[in-house]
Amino acid sequence: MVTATATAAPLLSVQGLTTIHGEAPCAACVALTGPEADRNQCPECGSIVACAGVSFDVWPGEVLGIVGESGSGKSTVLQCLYQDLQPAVGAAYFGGFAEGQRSIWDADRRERRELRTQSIGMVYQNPRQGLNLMVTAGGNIAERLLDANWRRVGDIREKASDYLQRTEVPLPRMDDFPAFFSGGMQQRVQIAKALANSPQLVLLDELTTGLDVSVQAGVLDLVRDIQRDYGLTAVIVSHDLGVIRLLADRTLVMKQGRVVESGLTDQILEDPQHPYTQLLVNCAT
Amino acid sequence: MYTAVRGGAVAIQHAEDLIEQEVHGAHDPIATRQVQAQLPLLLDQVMGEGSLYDPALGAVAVRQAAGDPMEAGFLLRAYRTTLPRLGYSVAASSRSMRVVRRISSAFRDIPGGQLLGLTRDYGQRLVDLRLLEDADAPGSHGAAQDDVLANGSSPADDSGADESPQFPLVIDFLRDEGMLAARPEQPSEDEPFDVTREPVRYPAPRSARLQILARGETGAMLGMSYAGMRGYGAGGHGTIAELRQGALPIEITHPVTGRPARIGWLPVTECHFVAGGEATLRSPRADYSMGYGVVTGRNERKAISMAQLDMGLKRGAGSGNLLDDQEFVLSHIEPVDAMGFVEHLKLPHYVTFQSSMQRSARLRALTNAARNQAHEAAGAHSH
Amino acid sequence: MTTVHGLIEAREMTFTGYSYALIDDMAKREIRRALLKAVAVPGHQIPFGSREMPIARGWGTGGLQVTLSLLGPGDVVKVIDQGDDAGVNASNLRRLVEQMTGLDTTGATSEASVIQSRHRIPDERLNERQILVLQVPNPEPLRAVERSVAQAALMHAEQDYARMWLALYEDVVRRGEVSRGAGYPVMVNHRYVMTPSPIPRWDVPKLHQADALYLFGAGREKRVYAVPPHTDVVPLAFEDYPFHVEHFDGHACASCGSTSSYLEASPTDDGGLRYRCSDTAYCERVREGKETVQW
Repeated sequence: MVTATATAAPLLSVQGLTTIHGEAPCAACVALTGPEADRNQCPECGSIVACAGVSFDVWPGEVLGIVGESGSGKSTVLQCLYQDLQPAVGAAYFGGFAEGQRSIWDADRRERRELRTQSIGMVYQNPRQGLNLMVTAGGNIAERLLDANWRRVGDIREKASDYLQRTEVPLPRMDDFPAFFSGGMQQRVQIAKALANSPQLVLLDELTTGLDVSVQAGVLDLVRDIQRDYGLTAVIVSHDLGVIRLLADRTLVMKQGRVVESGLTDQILEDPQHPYTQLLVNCAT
Repeated sequence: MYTAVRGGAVAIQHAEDLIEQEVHGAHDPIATRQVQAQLPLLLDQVMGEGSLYDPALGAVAVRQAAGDPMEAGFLLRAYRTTLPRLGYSVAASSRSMRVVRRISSAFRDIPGGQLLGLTRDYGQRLVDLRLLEDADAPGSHGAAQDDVLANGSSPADDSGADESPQFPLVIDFLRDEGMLAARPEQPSEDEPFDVTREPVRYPAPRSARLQILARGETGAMLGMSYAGMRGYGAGGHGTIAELRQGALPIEITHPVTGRPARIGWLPVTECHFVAGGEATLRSPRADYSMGYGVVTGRNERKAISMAQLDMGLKRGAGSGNLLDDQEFVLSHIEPVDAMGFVEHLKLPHYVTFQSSMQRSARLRALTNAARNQAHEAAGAHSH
Repeated sequence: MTTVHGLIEAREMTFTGYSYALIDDMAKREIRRALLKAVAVPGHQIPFGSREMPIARGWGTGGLQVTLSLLGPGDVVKVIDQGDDAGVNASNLRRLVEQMTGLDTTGATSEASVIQSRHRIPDERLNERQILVLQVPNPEPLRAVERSVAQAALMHAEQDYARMWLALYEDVVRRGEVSRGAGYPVMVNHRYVMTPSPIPRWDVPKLHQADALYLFGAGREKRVYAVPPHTDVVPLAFEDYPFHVEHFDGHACASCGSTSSYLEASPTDDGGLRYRCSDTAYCERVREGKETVQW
C-alpha cells in the first residue's frame, strides 16, 4: 500500500463543499440541517442540503472511500468533482488542473470538458449515464482518446483492446453496441472508458449496486487489481462497507450531508467512534 | 347588438346566417366550375386530404368552406363516409402511368429522358401586378368582411365603428384575482426584434418568437400543437381564456405632431390560452400562465395553435421535449424555408449521388474482398 | 467604364422599381460586412439577416445573396449547377442575375469574375482574380452529431470536435473507411471544422491553398462563411485511413475523352452506364481542343 505521507502534496484537496437544492435557499439552511438535527431538509425554506462543509484530501496512489446511507450526500460529492453539479460553496484544488492553483469549480467550459475527458474518469452507478449505448464499446473508449487528439485508428483500437481486455470484456464485442450487453459487461466497459487516457483521478459511484451478487465480486476484484497495477488514485462511494473494506485505504463516513468520521479504513471498521458509524459497522456484521 | 353566447340555438342560427351571407351573399359569386378550372392545386389538396377524388364536389367544398382547405377536406370526408363501400380496385402500377412530367435528381440522363412539364420551380416568385386590375379597392377585404370590420359584432348592426362595444379582456379578471401574473410595467424589449432583418439566435427574444409564430405555417403549427396536447409537449390542454376576432386599429407616431395617428384597421384573430400549475406550496405566486396567439385575418386554428405552442415554449424550456424546444418549433414552422428545402430535393443531385454511389461501391468491394479472403483461408485450412 | 447607373439603365423596363441587383443597398452592405468577417475568420460561420428571395429557400438563396451583394460594373458572372451551365436552376438564377444587374454572363470558367455554383468546383483551375460562391444547404458540419444550432456553436467556440471524430471512427468500424461522400468535413486554417457544401470529394483538395476566394452562402440557415486564398484546408481523416477522392476505374468522358475530370455515370437504354464530364464548360473546352489549366 502506498502511504499518504510519502508525498508532499495531496492530489485533490476539497474544502468546505456545500451543495443545496431548492428554489430559494435561505440563510439558515446549513445551520438547521445535519446529523444533529437529523434531517437534510431545511425547515425554514424546504431546500435540501445535499452536503455541507465537506473537506478532505486525496493523496496520489490512494483510494478514498465515502460511505453512508442513501441521501447522505456521498454521490453529490462525486457529481461535484466530475462537474455534473456546480456546488453552492467550496473549492477543490486538483493537481491535474491549473497546477492546483485554481479551484476546479472556477474552470470555464472548455477546462471543464478537459477535466472530464482527460484528467478525471467517472464510473456511474448506472452505465447508461457513463456510456453512449448507441456507440460501439470500442467507440466509447475511443471518444476519450480522440478528445486527446489520437488520430490513428489502429492505435486507438489497440489501446481500446488493452482496456477491454483488462476489464475482461471479450474482444469480439468491441464493435458491438453496449445497449445489448448485460449490466455487468456494461459496467466493465464503463470502467474501461473511465481508465482511457490514464486519468490522474478516477471516481467510482456505487459501481456494484445494480449488479447481480455473482457479478459483483468479479467487478470488485477487477477494480482492486487495476488499482494495484496502475497505482490508481480514486474516490469510491458506496453504501456497502464490504466494498469500502476491500478497496479503500482511508474512509469518510457521511450522514445527512456531513462528514461525521474519517480515518484509515481498518481503524474505522475495527474501532468506530461516531454512533452512526458504529451502527453501520454493526449492521454490516 | 351583442348577443351573449347562451340560448345556444339562437347563437348558432346567427353564426349560420353569417356563413350563409359569406358563401351565398357575395355580389359577384364565384362559380363552382371556376374553382374547378382556376384553383386546381387548392382543389387537389382538398380532395387528397378529403380522401375523395371528385373535382365537382371538391369545388363545392372549397366554396362552402370559404377557401379554408382543411374545413373543405373535412366536408368531403364527412360526405365520403356516407357512401357505401362497393369494392376495391386492383393494384395500379405506376409503370402504366401516362406521364406528363418526370425528373430525376440522381442522374442527369435517364433512359426516356427528363420531362420538365408544368412546374413553377424555375420561375421567379415575382408578384404579377397585372392581376391587380380586377381587384377591389386597395385595403378592401371583400364586401362581407368589410361589413364586419366596420360594424363590429354583426353585419346587420348599423352602429358606427367607433360606437362598437368595448369588451373587457377575460385575462384582466384573472389578473385582478391574482391568478395570472400582472402585466409587466415595462415591455421586455424596447424595440421588437425583426426576424426578417436579423438572424435569430437561440434562445430567441420574445418578440422574435411571436413574430415567427405569427408568420408560421398553419398546418405545421396545428400538427405540433396537437402533438403537444397529446402529451408530447408541455403546452398541454390548457383553457382558452378568450378567443377574439375583429379589427385592430393600427397607429404610427406622426412624424410631425409626435402623436399616434391611425393608419388603418387590421383584421386579427387573438387567443389567450391559460393553464394553472405554476405555484407551489413553497413558492406561492400567480398560478396561471398564459400562452399568446395572434394572427392576421381570420384563422382561429392557427391563433389557438400559436398560443398552445407559446405555452409549451414558456413552460417546457429545458424539458427535453422537441415540442418545448424553441429551436425545433420555430425553425420548422417557417413555411418558406420548409417548402423550399423539402422541395429542393427535386433539384439535380447528380454530383452528390455519383459520390454516394462510389462510396457504396467501395463498401461492396471491401466486403467482397473480406469474404474472398475468408473463403481462401477456409479453403487453405480444409486442404 | 460602365457605372451602376448605366447598368440600371440597361435593364429591361419590367424591372424598373427594383434595386440594382435586386437587394436593397442596406442589405447588400450587411452581407458584405458579414463576408468580411467570414474572410477574417476562415471557416467560421457568420450569421446574417438573410432576405427572402424570389426563388425558394434551399434553391440557392444564400449563394444568390452573396453573388448579388458583390456584383458591380465590369463583373462577368457564371452560374452552374452540378457543373452544368445549362441546368434548369442555373439557368433560372442566371436569368435573375442578368435581369437585375444588366451584367454580362458567361459559360467560360476562365472569363468569369464571379462564379456561383451548386455542388461543384470547376475542373478548370481558378485564379486569384476569381471568386467562387458556393450554395450551401446546411452550413453546420456538426449537425449529424449535434442537432441544436446553439450547442453546435458552443462546440465550435471550444474546438470541441471529439464527437465529430467519434462519428468518423464509428464509420470506419462499420463501413471499413470514412464513408462520407459529398460534403466531406474539412479543418480550415487548423481551427474550424467546416462543411465545404455538398461538393464531391474530388473537389475538396481544390480548397487547400487555392488562389481564388471561396465564399459560402446558406440562405435558409442564414449563415455565410469563407475560405480565403492560400488557406490550409485539410479533410478530417485518420492517419491510417487517409482521405482519397472518387476514382472512375479508368473510365473516360464519352464526349471529350477526359480522364482527369469528375465524371457522372448515367444509366443507358441498354442497361449500362455512360460516363460524362460533370463540368460541361470544361468538357466543351477539351472537345474544342483548347488548353485547360488543371488543378
